Amino acid sequence: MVATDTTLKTASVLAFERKLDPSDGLLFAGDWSQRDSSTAWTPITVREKSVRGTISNRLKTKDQDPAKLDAAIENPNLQTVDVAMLPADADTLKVSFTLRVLGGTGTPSACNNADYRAKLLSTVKGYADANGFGELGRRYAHNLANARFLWRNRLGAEQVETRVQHLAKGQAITTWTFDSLKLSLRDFDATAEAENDLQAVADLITEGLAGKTHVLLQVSSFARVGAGQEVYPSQELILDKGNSKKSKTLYDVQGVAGIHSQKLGNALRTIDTWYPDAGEGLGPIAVEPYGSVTSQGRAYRQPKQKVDFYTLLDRWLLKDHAPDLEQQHYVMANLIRGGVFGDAEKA
Amino acid sequence: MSSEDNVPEHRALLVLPHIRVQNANAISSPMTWGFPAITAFTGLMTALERRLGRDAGIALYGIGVVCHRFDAQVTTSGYTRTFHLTRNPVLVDGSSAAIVEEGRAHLDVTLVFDVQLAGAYRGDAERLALAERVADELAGMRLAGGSVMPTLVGPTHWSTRPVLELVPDDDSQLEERRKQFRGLMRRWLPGFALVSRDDLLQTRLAELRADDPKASALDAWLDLSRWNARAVERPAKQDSDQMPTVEWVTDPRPGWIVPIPVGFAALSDLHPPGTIRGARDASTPFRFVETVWSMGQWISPHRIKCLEDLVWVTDHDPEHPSEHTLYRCRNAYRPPAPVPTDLTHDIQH
Amino acid sequence: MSTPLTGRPAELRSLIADFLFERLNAKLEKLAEDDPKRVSLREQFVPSAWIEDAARRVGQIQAVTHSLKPIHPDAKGSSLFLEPGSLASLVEVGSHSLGIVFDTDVVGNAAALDVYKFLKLRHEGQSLLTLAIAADADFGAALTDDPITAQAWMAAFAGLAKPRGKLSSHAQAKQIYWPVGSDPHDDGDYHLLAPLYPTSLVHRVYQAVQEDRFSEDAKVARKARKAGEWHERPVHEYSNLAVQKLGGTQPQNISQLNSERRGDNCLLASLPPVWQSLTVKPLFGVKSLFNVYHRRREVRTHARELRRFLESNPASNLKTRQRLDELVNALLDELIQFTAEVRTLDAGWSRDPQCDQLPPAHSAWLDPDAANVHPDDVIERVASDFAHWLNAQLRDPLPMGDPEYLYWCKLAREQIKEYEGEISHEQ
Repeated sequence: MVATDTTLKTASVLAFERKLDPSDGLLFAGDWSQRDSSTAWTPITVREKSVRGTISNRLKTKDQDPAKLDAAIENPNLQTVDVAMLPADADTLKVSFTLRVLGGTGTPSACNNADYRAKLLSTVKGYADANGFGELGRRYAHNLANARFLWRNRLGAEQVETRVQHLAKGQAITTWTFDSLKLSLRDFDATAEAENDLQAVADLITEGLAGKTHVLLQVSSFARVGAGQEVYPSQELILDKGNSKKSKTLYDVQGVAGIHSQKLGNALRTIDTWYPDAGEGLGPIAVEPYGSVTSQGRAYRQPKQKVDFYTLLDRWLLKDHAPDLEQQHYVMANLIRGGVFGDAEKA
Repeated sequence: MSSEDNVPEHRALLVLPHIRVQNANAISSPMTWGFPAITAFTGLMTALERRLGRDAGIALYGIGVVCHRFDAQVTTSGYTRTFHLTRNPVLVDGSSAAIVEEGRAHLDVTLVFDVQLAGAYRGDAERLALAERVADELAGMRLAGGSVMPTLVGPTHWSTRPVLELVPDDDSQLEERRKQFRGLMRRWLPGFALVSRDDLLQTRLAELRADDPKASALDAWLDLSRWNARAVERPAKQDSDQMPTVEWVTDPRPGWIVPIPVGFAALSDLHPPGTIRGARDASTPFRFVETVWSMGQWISPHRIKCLEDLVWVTDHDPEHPSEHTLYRCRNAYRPPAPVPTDLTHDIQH
Repeated sequence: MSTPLTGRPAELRSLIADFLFERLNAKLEKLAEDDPKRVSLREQFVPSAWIEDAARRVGQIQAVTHSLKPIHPDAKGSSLFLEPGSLASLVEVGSHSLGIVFDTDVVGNAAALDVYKFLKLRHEGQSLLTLAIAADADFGAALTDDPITAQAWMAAFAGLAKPRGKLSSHAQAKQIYWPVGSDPHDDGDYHLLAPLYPTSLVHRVYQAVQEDRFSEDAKVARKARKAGEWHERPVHEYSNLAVQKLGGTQPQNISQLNSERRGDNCLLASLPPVWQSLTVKPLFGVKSLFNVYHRRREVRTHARELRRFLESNPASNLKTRQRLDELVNALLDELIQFTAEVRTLDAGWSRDPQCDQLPPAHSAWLDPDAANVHPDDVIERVASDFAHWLNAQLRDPLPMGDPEYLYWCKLAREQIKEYEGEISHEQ
């Protein structure tokens, strides 16, 4: 147990808890003009419908016999899918969730190297003292206000309004209201009218990240998509479908259509504009250790470019080579994201 | 506050009602799924006490759980259940990451703690403030890997306020103590509490061994974990030409019983701190272990007579911590013994 | 392996030779008569060559009873081999419950599994692995004429069950702090526990469940049950059994037994009973709360069980009495739960005209803000209606009379009073 080597090494066990912890989003239906009384809105349910699929999947070679193809077309694959819609008398979708901002950013939930832990804490403190978590807080707040978390439900909405409430002891202390479509998904520039409110929400999140007590926000977003229109809860990932004829299962919470908390969390941390190809117009990507974007099957922060989370963190902590401020933001955002980051792979 | 005022020595009961947990781990052990392992709850208790700190004037000794809602993220069609999964970010080369199957469930539970309070909390207002502080601390914690969430809007008169009441601790106050406990219990209906039924495992093993001396605890456990139906021949009625009939009868189960993991047994010696690479810290003795299982039962809380029968405690011999190789959660519940009365005869026409 | 041997060494040598001959033939069969690979295959399977190579390759695999990969596929750390019989005997279920018969798992390079099959060969009830661990001289002689080489090879084979390298855990392994002292605030009062996956135990349970679900015998028994015919084998049902996939499409990356299980990890259900707030509705258009209560699945199950039990003419003893009380109390539990559920509705729900047919005692019992004047004997009426309801469930063809009614009534009164009593005490 005698240390023969005094160079600091990465802890082989290093883990951080998620600091932005959203609940699932629940979907409700109502009328745009009734937004102030939205607690009485009707929950949106998921229902099954039968669809007559066409032969669109690539046929196996043995099925390319024309006679077989005809037979296959005459035997359309009957299947069921889940759908969720607004009723005919409601033109607006409400998505509501809570967001807990937990304090203690940078404090690992597990770390088996005391020296490394001390260095980590002092590095995070250095960052916090110099910059605070203001830039990150501002970006997270922007992603609440612009309703990025609505995902597909945001597309085609005529109007989107998002209300953010600060809750304490079950009561709303303050409410901020945003015209979400006026706030861009491509950058984090506040509009003049939203500037003050955005800053207030940002300050609250910043305070939560740095603080000792957690901050609780209630977020409700209203998307005017039109009466009777389809809305988009999360889709379940089911690998072994067994004998089920169902090709799409939507998520619900106790009978109310829902958006997975993971999906909301992904939208909130879509703040990384500091990756190498950011100039190519893709816009912000979610904070991930390798900048991976699942929908594109691509990772934008390749280790060979030396701007992935692990390289940046190691250089910063082990070699005292602090990255540029923007990359410091990115590293901190990964700690807020949480995860198991041990070095044992290389050991 | 004087130092004496700060020593937890007054018995009390803390209730945190209707805690909603999102995405808790539903795979409770390598052989069971469903409600999270009770070790996750005792673990929460320890973590909570540490967060509150030594100066908080409250010590937690046991934790009971009443489940109001349980929403497993599984497929419900077909004979077996499969888990709804989550997709991981793509790998550095853009390919899909291997899917690690994790089971998840949302819970709505009431947590009941057996606690000791410092003298400073003799007053109602002080106790209420402490209870709220504990509830607030819990709100930022993880339970069985899931996130504690604000309660969804429930029935209008559903109390979600934490309760912290002193327990009449004198031996002469047994009746009052039980009355208080049962009064609180009925507030946690509808719901079911998890209690231990170690006795069932022993009884069933003895029954199996009467037929087969080689039967093991594993056989008894499996037998208790499933429905067993067997053919019974019913003799024909006397003076009739009817043939004997066969009926398949499912063995009765004594209530809603379930196989549960209850702790861990040592697989290795206790390794000195810092000697095992990849350990979570370098200052705690380390041991390889495996899960051990027993039986549990979900019972209506109004059937539970006293706090000891509800709460689970962690068991380990503090005198000989390294020789002791079993790390177990225990609960004192025992099923009521029947009282013979004359009516026994009456109902047996 | 040229010296002629006699006795036990000769038997062992021929056991090895047969094993290699079979494996070689299996491989040769897949090749054409003139395939040049046949020559090199034959060379590989010359016993001395194969054993030498096997003694090298054995280091790529490890025999285990407790593995790490099922905990997390990326976890890298120690797996262990522990004879179940060597573990402390406990009243709880664990690997020790396996006794002396168990399947060993293998982790590591799947390409070296043939070495494991070799070491599993048995002679006079002992595996070659056991002989290697004992450094059995006859086994050594069977391996090679050179005693020093024999020792080295046996030592290599004996290492199969030993952990590879120094004991270690991993960031992705599960690790739990367990309090072992009296002060939870003292960091020194904990042990760090790292649970491993009991693959041998899991395998036994998997086999039992498979046997109960898919064996021919089980299928015949299920058929007999369906047809109402006699069969000696009981039918075992594992309700809500879950199947977790370990290793995805590559179960062999986890372990050999996992591969044999096709990656299916069977999990027994320990689900709590649940009630759904969505299904709790006011009692509209019904004449008795027991009409609604009766729709509960558990109520119907318990009532059926009680009826069957009484029909079986159980002996008049304490055990019968216990079972009877158990079943009636289970029904009363359901009544209390049902009551608590309905009471979560907004008070005053029973004032709706659609509740006109509900007896006043029932609405008073279920709705704290019922319109009608509360009859003063609410408890007595509900208890008596419960007893009537229960009798009706059992009456035909059982001869049920007043003593039964009175007994159900008594049990119900006790439960209801206790429940209601606590409420008035509190209010």
